[in-house]
Amino acid sequence: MSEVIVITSGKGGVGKTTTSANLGTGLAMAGKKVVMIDADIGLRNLDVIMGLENRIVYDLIDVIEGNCRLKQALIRDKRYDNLFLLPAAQTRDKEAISPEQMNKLCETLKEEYDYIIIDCPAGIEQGFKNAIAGADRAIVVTTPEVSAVRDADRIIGLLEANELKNPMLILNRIRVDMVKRGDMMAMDDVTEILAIDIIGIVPDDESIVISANKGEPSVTDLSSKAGEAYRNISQRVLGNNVPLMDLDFDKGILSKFKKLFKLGS
Amino acid sequence: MSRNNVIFKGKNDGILIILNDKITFEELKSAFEEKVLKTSAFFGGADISITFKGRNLSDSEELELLDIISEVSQLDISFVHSKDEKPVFAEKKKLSKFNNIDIPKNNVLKNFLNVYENTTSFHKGSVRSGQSLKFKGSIVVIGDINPGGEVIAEGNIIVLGSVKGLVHAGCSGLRDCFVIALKLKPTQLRIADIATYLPKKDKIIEITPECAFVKNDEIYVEPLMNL
Repeated sequence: MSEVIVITSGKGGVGKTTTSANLGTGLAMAGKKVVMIDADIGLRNLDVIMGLENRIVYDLIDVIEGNCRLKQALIRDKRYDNLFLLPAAQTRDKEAISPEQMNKLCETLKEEYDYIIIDCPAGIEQGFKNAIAGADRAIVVTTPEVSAVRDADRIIGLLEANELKNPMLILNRIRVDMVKRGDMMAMDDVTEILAIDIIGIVPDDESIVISANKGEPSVTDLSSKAGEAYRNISQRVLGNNVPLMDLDFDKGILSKFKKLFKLGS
Repeated sequence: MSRNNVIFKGKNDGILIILNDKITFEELKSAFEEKVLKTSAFFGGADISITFKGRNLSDSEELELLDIISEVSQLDISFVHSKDEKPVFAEKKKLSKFNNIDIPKNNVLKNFLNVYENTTSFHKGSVRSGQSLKFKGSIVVIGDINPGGEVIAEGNIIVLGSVKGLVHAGCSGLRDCFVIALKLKPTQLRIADIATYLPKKDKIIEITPECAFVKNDEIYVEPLMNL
């Protein structure tokens, strides 16, 4: 049973592409056959994050316009044999394809792959409509900022209007120290406004930037906290029950000892 | 023949209206209007109760007939008995006919009744950013109104949830209208032609259902319990 999942947010720069790359890789790590589609035509990034930029010959538009076969455009990942990328065209724009064409493409891919991850562009225009057209499920990414939450709210409304019920939420780039000081919205504040189920929280982590520059998704980095968060999210997408991670890892050794003693007493 | 389509009969506690069920509803409506016109002079502005008989009326049909009475005549309907003699206000779809409930005078809430002629729209679910809810009557929202979302009604607005977006009650100019919410924290609140935003309160204030209304050209917000 294959599934098409669209990763969307409304606002730009909250981590849609990073999430797509990590979720796609995470699912591939779990042994699933995955294809990631970059729907951000004209501003493609997913190939860069995945480190596959130099292998692009054909792209999404070529497939849709029939310039090549689907198999020719799919780029196999360098780390996982069961992970593929369908890159976006850089020289065209979002109007070059229609939701119907996208839907058809997703149906074709569903025959062969377990998961199809669509990286949605920012905004609510044509690009968004294309990206959600073939989706069975949606994951909304937001950061704990009022503007991002506002846009996520708008997106959830639009998803529901397009029959994509029960989208899931990823709260990205959360900083525990700021939340503790009361300078950042906590998870509960965000879920109270958006009123949808949360599928994961990802801490703000330097490793994300480093791994993006290297073209290696941080989900593969076992020492990275953000990577761990994405591995957990992948497990939840697969239907496994994994508890939300305890983000309070910045505690010093002393408090860790204290916690240990508390548990013992 | 048309004479027998609608028959008015005096009863000790009001009027019994016998309707012909052999004709279409449209025909019945015109016959009914004619009859009400003729008899309104006789009943004047009396306060009466009404019983419908002889025909099974749907809720909306009954509402239409009652609308005809209030449009054409001065009659004040205090009570409507349906076929099974149940008072009408016990049925949930007829919330619009508020005027059969006895409300103490000088109670701010009595103003609710001023918008009784329009019906009420129920909306289940949250009104999210970018979504807009408009209705030519009162609106009841079972859910939240999020920032960036708007609810605009000609009548009152009642929100069983929290209001963080924009609400506009009495948008056609009725200053008697109200906004009631379990948690009233709108970005902007309008009643008729008056707009306001609520002062930012300090955190941790007990959340209580509140009501916004117009008094002396200004919008006041009071806990619902105090009204």
